[in-house]
Amino acid sequence: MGRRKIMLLWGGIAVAIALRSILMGINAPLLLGRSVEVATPITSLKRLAEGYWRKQLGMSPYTGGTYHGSPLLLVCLGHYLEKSLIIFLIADLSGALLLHLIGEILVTVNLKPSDLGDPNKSSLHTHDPEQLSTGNLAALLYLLNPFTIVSCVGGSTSPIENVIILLALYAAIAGNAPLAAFGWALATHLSLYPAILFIPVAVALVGGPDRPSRSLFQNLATSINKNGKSIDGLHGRHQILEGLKWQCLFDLIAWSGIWWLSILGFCSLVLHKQPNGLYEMFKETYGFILTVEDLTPNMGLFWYFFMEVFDFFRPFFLMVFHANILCMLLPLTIRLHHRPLFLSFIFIVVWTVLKSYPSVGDMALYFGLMTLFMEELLGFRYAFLLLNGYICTAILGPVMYNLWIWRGTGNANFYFATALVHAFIQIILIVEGVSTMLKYDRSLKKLVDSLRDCDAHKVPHNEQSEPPPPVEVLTSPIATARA
Amino acid sequence: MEQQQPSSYAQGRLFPRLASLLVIHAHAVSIACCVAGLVGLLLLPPLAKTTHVSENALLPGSAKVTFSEADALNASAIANELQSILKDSTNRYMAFRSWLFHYFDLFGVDYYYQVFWPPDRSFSPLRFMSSSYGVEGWLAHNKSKYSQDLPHPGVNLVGIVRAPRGDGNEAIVLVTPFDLEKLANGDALTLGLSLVILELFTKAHWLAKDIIWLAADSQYGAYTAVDAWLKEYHQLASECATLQYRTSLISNLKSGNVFEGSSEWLDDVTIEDFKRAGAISAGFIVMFSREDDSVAFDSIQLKAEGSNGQMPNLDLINVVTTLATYRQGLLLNLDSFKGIKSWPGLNTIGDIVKHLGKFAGYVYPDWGFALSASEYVQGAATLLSSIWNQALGVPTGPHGAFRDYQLDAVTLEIFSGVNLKNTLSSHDLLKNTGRLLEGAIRSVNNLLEKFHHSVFLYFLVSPTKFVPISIYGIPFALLIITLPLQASALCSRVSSQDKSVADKESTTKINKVGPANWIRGVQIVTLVELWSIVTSLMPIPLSLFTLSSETKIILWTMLACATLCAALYAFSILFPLSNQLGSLLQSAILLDSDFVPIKALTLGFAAIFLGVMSAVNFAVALLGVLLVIPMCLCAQPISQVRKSILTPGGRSLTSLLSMAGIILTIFLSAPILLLSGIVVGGPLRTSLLQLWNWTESLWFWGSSLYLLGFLVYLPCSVLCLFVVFWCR
Repeated sequence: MGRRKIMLLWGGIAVAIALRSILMGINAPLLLGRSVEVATPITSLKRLAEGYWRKQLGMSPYTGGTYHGSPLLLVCLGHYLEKSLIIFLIADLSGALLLHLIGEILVTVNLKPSDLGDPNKSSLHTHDPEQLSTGNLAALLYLLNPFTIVSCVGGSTSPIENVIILLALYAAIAGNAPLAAFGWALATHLSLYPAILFIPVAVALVGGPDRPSRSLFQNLATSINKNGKSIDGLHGRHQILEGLKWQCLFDLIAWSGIWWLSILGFCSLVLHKQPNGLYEMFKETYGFILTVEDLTPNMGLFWYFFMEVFDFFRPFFLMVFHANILCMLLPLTIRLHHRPLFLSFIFIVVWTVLKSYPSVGDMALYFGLMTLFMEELLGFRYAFLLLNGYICTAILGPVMYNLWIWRGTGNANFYFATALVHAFIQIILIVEGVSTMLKYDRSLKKLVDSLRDCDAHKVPHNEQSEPPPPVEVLTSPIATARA
Repeated sequence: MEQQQPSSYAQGRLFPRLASLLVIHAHAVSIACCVAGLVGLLLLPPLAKTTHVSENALLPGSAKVTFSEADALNASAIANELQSILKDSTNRYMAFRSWLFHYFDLFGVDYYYQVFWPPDRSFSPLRFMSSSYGVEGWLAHNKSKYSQDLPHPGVNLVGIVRAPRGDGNEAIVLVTPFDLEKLANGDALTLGLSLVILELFTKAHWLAKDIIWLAADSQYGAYTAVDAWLKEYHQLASECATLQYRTSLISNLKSGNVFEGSSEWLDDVTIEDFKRAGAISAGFIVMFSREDDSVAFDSIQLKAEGSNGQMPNLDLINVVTTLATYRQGLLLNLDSFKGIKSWPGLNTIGDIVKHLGKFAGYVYPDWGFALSASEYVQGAATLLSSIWNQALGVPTGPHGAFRDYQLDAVTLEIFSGVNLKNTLSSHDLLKNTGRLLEGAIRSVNNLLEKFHHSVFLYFLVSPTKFVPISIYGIPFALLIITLPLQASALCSRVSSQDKSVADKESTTKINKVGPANWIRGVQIVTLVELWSIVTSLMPIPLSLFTLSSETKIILWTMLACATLCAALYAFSILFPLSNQLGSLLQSAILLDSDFVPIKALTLGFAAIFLGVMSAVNFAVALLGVLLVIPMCLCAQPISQVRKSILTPGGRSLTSLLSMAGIILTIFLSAPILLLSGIVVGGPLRTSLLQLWNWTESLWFWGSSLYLLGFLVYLPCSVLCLFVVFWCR
């Protein structure tokens, strides 16, 4: 590691910690905790304090309909509400650490055009010791992301949810089925939506972490076998061609069952004083998320719509809205099955758009994951538009809320229009992200095909003579293929 | 490049074709937009609409007014009585309070007093943009400060007339500021007038809303007093960390110097209870002007600008205008910049606009307008003052405190044309003002809902003419559209260059040069923006030290410069143009595009901030647009222009124009503008002092102008200077 890299890394971490402490010092949580973008009814720390207080009095934490989180959070956070910043800071730091670890794994297994010797596609971050690796960069950007900072100091429990989701993803990428099951079960218990991450977690465990599709590797392998030489970048990637590990899926299911049982056991232990404690917990957490009882304005699309819907249509539209997420699962999984981590990134963006109570915490999570794919997403179109769009909605949302609620010169339509623009931008992110990734895969495939074709042509021609210098073999056909 | 573009936009669908056409002719379009926007701004006075009362329930002037000549005489007598009592007494405050409570008892109204302390005016992080934050912050802050040395508290006196026909859910507030230390004749007269009106309302059988009369102790400014009262009025009884604090202080005070001597009133327990009267519908503040020798006629000046350019609903102003102008025959006017009326340039524009109106009338009768040059100048002066007051974000009077609670209020400042001792004409003025107030309150009394029919976003050109947002938004939109247009033109220039490079080298259309350059641009822009935010927060630590204002401002500037240099230095070490990136930049990109991402990003964020600012405070956004747009659009690397001038056979006119643009950029940038402001503002010491005080007051009022200065103007000017001097 170069000196500059160390400076950057530790400097970035120090800046991130300092920023959070300063914000805490000037009492920003008081202001941020009120903003609807940061603290939702599910994640609000104020509501948690209320629930904890009720539990201490021997009542059910869910009486009065204030608290809608997990009983486990009450036990873990309740005692330390005063020092919650430290807990959230640790959560953010460990989230960054997990991102770093994920990045390290991805770098070792992933295949890049530069690994195939395409000089035109030499990456921005090569193995230069002075350059930050993808994992480092992702961790740093996660820590310094304004959305992460705001959700950390803003009095919401989303940093904890995020770190558990990241834990599940890391364990899945690392092939650790029990840990992945633990992360998945806990994340699902905390906020329901991570349930859909079961698909990418299972895919990652069965098929291994992100890489181009299998057929591509088979082509590559045949060309390598024919050619009898190896390509520099492929050292130590033999596991690529290993078979599918179905055993892991059974492990995952079994372990998920075990973890779920133990979580429910703990919950009922916490709620032991109440009759029907678990039933009430499910009703007040999952039921509250699914039936959208709280119509306080937020960044999402539900409140405005369900404010207006007639009561007898409500169940129908609730089903339609929630089914939106489920509809996307299968097609996305089929298309991106070889890239489980990217798939989970897309899932997270999808649920941020279609969640009943979204917050900036979700955005922090998907931006953290997105930085892992910086290399692949370099060809992203509309980046300028998206950058400006995110800045615009991030500022405009609170402003419109202020105009509506505090000044009385705006109205709900202004705020909802901002929420719509926000959803629109996120949808562009999804669509463009997926298409860029697919394009990237296609270009890789073309590269390998051309490699194989050229080998197929060249090998019989040069049978007797020495193999030509590798650079020529690898570059010239690319140019011809592109021309 | 030029040969490629026609083919690229000639094909494809209509919308992309139009878009690419716009982008290609970006310079021409943006010049046209700028000119049209400026002309539109100049045409605002003739384009103003005539006001009308939108809310039917108000019915201004339809009922008979009962305030009579005798009441005016009575008010005058009460004022004289007050003057003589104050003259005789040893403790003016105590005498005044018992005198007023005596009247309240006489009228049979509810009454109480409220004690308050002035807020701290220094920089404190929580004051900013947090009108909704509540009173706990500053009380907690002030408690420690004043625990040893309690300043003289302000005491508001409040009387409430309960409505015979109401259920106590709604109220109308009448505010009369007074200052016992320098009580002028006018103050005594308004107090007398308000008391008479209050008595009138105790007898009014039609009253459906409670009338609250607030005699606001304005020894710390009328705004502070009204704000303190409104804060307590809207506070939950449960939020009573303050209540405890208050009672302890009051018990302190009873023994202290304020309520010295025994008083019959202090034995009354309910006098300390803070009584309420339901939701406030509207507020009227009536006061005599203190600068009363400058006018020739009796007149009333209407003031309505609240904090951050918030205006009351136009209907409230309409009611007052209708009653004052058409029934009482009072001369009603607005604040205006008197100095600019004599500018020859403005008069010339007025002449041109007059002829334009005539000409438009020839072309199509509906378009024409008859507006003389003097009317135009008067309208423009009023409009400019309206814009400036809104942009400054500092309320022009105690009505601003109402607006923070979504309540509508106006201040009626009475200018007496003659000496107030001349009783005959002062009676006339009192009578007319009394009838106006009674009529306006009766009108609001009819109101069934909150004010919501008319507009909230407008500029006033005269009391009967206003420019709504639907009109003044158009020139603004024309001006601001140039920013994203130029940004996209720059972007497309980069990508087309990239494409041509890519074609030359027969590589793919995905290339690494663009992203590398853009990432660098994003880094630099983010760095400057962060630096600017830090700079804007620097006064907080600075104000902790006891330094003179001049030292503080010099220290502030030096610190800002030092941080910028340090940040740029650290940046260049941490993110050097590494060999890889550097070689990519040099080999693959044309030399000039170094500045393009920086300029495009600057334009982008300026457009976003100004657009958002137009929703928060339009006047600020307008000022910002007028400053930032010429500065940003004309920014160009000076080395390029020099090269093109030195090249023989170059287009000299274009290069001269871009040279002029660069000079404009430099002159509009923050350092030059600040320096010239300091030089023009008189001796160095006083102008620095003024600058510091001005900044402090902007911070204190949470003005958007401060935000605009530090989030848009300062980073934009630094980035523009960066583009001009350091980019290739």
